[in-house]
Amino acid sequence: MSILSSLVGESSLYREITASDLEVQQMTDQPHTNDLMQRLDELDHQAIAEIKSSQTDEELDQVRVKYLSKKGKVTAILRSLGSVDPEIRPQVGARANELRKKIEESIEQRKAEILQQKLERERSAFDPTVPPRRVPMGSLHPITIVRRELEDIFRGMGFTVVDGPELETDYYNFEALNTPSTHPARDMQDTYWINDTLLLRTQTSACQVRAMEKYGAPLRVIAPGRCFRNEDVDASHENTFFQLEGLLVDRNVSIANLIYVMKTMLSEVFRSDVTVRLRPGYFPFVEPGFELDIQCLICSGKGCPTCKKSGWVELVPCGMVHPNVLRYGGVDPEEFSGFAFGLGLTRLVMMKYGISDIRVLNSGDLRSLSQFGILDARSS
Amino acid sequence: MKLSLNWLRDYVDIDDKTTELLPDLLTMSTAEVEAVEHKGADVQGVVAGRITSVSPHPGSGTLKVIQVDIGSDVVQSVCGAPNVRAGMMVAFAPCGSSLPGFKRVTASEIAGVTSYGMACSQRELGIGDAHEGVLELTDECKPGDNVADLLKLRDTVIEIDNKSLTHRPDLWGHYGFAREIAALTGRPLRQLQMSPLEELTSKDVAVPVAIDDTEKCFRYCALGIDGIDTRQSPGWLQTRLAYVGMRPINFIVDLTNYVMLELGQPMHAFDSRMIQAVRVMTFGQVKAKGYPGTTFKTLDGVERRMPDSALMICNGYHPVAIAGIMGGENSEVEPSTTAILLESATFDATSVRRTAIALGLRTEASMRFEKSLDTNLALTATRRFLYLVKQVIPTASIYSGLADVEPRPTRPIWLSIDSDYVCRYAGTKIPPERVEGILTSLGFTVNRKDAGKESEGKICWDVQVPTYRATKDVTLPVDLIEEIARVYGYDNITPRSIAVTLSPVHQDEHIELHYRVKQTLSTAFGMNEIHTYSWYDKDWNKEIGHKDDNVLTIVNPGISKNDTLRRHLVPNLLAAVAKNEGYFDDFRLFEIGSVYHPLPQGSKSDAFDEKAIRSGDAFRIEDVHVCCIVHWKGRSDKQEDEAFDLLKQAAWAICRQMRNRTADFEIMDEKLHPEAGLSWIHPVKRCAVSSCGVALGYITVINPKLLDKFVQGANMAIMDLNLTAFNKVPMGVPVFKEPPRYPRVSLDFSLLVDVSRPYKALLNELREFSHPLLESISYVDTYTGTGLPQGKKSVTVAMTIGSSDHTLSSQEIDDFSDAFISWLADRGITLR
Repeated sequence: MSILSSLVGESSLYREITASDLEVQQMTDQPHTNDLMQRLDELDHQAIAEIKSSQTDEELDQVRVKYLSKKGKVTAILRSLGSVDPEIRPQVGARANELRKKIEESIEQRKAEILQQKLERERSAFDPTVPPRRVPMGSLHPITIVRRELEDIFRGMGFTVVDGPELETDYYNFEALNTPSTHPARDMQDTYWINDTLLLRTQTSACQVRAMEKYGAPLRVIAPGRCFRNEDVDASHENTFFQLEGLLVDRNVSIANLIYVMKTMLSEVFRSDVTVRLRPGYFPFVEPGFELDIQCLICSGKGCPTCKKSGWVELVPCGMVHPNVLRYGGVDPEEFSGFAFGLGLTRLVMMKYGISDIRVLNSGDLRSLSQFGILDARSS
Repeated sequence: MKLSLNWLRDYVDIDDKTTELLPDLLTMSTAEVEAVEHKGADVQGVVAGRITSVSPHPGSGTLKVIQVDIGSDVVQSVCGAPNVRAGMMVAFAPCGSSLPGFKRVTASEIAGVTSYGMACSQRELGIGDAHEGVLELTDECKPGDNVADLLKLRDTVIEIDNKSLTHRPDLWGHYGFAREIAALTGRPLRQLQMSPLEELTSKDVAVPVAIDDTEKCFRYCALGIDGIDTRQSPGWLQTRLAYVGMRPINFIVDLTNYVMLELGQPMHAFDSRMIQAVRVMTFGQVKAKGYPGTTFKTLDGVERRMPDSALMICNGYHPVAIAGIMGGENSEVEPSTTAILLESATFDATSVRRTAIALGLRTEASMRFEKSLDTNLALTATRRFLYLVKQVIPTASIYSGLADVEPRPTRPIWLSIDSDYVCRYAGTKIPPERVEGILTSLGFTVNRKDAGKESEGKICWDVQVPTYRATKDVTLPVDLIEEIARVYGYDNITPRSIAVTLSPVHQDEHIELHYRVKQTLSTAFGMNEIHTYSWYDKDWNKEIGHKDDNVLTIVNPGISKNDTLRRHLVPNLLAAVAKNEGYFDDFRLFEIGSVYHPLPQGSKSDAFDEKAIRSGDAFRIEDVHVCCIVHWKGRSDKQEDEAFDLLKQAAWAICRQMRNRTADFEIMDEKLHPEAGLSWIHPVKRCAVSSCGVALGYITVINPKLLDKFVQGANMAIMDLNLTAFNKVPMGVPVFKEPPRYPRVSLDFSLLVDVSRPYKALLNELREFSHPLLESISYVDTYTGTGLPQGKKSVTVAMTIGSSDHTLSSQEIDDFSDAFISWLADRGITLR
């Protein structure tokens, strides 16, 4: 089987329904003039009656075939004119042609009537306002919608979108991120352990060294995905949530570059020119490490309940990639530098849609989750 | 951690303007300020008062009537505190004065006696929780003195987020913050007042120190001080401790806490009667020396089961404290104590952390040791303690000179940086003088190197990291960048676009493909995406009869029924169905998510080949599946068949989306498809899905046995496909073929076959028929109604025929029909 036919498979794309064989009518007798005229009158009578009684285009078409096709009854008379007495031939010919025209016109007229009747019926009965019978009310999870939007923004900025396993190793999740088992920073994250080696990743930062191993430097990647932390679930805490990690490694990357990229990216995300500020933050895999705040979009920095009156909202932990992490990724810190950031995807979704209870996202409750549609709907 | 501005002012000038700016300044350059609290301004008119007489209340057995001399007057007050006595000096709030929160004190009648003010407890003054009795003023004062001034109640307290101090052991005390503030404001840092070292070493060592485990104890300083007592601390000291969250106990204990809160160095005072020779060893070593039992009672009265690795402070071989965490009840300072052995030591951060976690006991001390302390601080703190104790108790003197054992001293680190590196990394020009100024103000020693002819404008430095920053935090040149940039101010760095070489951007295709599958399911198939947890709910699995023994287990689940990782998406989706069916009759759910397989056989879980995982093979224990469930109300065959067909269409669409391929549907056989045994799989109405011979999953009507777990009359069909398995399906690359020039003819044939014969088997047989005109065979429909022979069904197929060089004549068409019919007859297949 060819590939094309395997593509279309057993569909009906190429099924040609040929018309069934036409009825072949043989007219063998040689008619007399009077007979002919009389026969034409008969045909006239019959045809018009049949046209008038026709209720559909198909019936009319059968009438046309019966009288006017190559093998039709009127056509047969016209064809036989050669054998007719030359004296009366014009008279018969004229009559036959006249009949042919009459039938054609009658059919057209009847066709128009039928259409008119149909339209009349429809005009009174057709209701264009009823909804479709099965409304396709499918929806995407809001995480999917916002994640996709972010991926698009970063792809547009030349980033590769990668992912990594949720079942991670201690090595990628901690050790290669400059967080050995003795490090106090491990206390900051409550980890679900499978055994001494395997864990459910606590951060998408676990993708950093994987990405460097796979793509080398220079590189620009983002890694969105599901993360896990062992904590009690309440309205603002979840043990299962989404992050989006970003990593950019190149020659001479500076703190000034980090601020620029974060500002540009966040302005895209929020579709307005955001004001950002960096302040010190501590994460073992970056040096220096920052907390990036954006000026509160609700009060424009004047102070409101959302920003706890500070005018700023803590949004993105980030920093310059620690030289040890570059080394773990096989990248020479003498030649390359870079920055990394972690966007709280779940948090962003909650901000964007005004969801105040984080548990909605993993509830599976369609009353909530079907509200977000299938695309990132922008208000204007 | 809380900071008292009064305390900080001991070391650096902080004027009113700086007080206002300080929270922002610290947040932007040092550590996050969580809260600012102004204290004491609301305590007005409270004065020192001497109780001149105490008499019983005529109307109450517990209350007393006291007369208080407040300098200007003697006032009457009703008081319920048990500790009032004549001659006592108290903080008295007369009528018209105000207490914290600007609570106004007024005259009131209590059980028939008018009270013109009140004698205050600590809590009433806002300096701690003590409320059992009134506060006794022990500091030198006279009636009428202002208590707010006497107790230094006016202060500003700044609360710092501990998380932002994880890497800064030097900031776990006020002096470290004073140093930061001095650097940030360009003001001088005042020296710490300490006793001279010679004073500490002037006496012979009476209490020797031995360290058995030098891996866990870096330094141990012990100093014996006598001539002391356990009096109450001076008021100002109590106020400071209370404001930063520490409960005042007695002067000696308070002072160990005070020095810790000042310098970040935890200290401990043992009652000298209980310790004659210090030995530092692990609990395991103690046991080996004959210690009976496995527990140790800490000074909070709790008997704790000790891990062998815990480091203990012992009197000989008898434990008296858990190193770096908490002292023992057997050696704590008591009211009768007149001499102490003062411990100031440095313990290994990891060891303290592990023991604290094992004991579930995190203390102010252990939190500090966990950050890796500078060993030099141990001696500094001892000298500071001696200085302060003598300020308050002049009779204090040394009975046992400084015993100091330091197996692992902290040494300064030297780092080399240059001005180009600083500017390149920061992305802005920072003047060299500024770099030098910042580092110097933070306590770094900066030596400009003779750059010689190296290059124009570039300045090289050798930088010595002070020991209090050199334990972990600052060890690399890049760590100096942080110091320079944060004090210089991140706000002063202008954002700059990045200069990069253009190169193609590669994408991991499956991320895009999975998204497209979601799009298709939600738009074309009207399905709603949900997320469920990555672990099973064992209770629910039991409900639906799903037994999964061979699963990965979480060692430390939050909730025990959630300790196994899912190998199938279906159970959690069925749980979501159960949640939703109360609100909706017809709905379709789907999830795309990971499932987790058990470790490969033969690999012991703890010896799992990490290298194999690192090389990316970890994906083999984690696959991404898509699972769809169609739910409706009603039990008709037609509904089941429609739902089944809908899922087949979805499978088909997914195969096209993922690999430009079609889907194959096969009978699901127990031997070939182990999933057939899953509890939700229908015994009959099910099929296996594959593409290009790669098994992908299955479609099934839900097993009717499970239906009683759902609302009455509900029914479901389920599809589960392994999206990761598509990696093995080759991409269907289209090759263009000219459309036929001459018309094709499609001939329908209705064949009578056994009711049990699958279409796939029939088709395979029909494909054996070869004819030069035959192009394809396609399915039209199956009829099982009346008018058929017993045990037969009628399957209609369409045979498409044509020629590449002419239009078929009716004769050719007839000949084809005849040939096919006679071929069928040979095989015993008759036409309907």
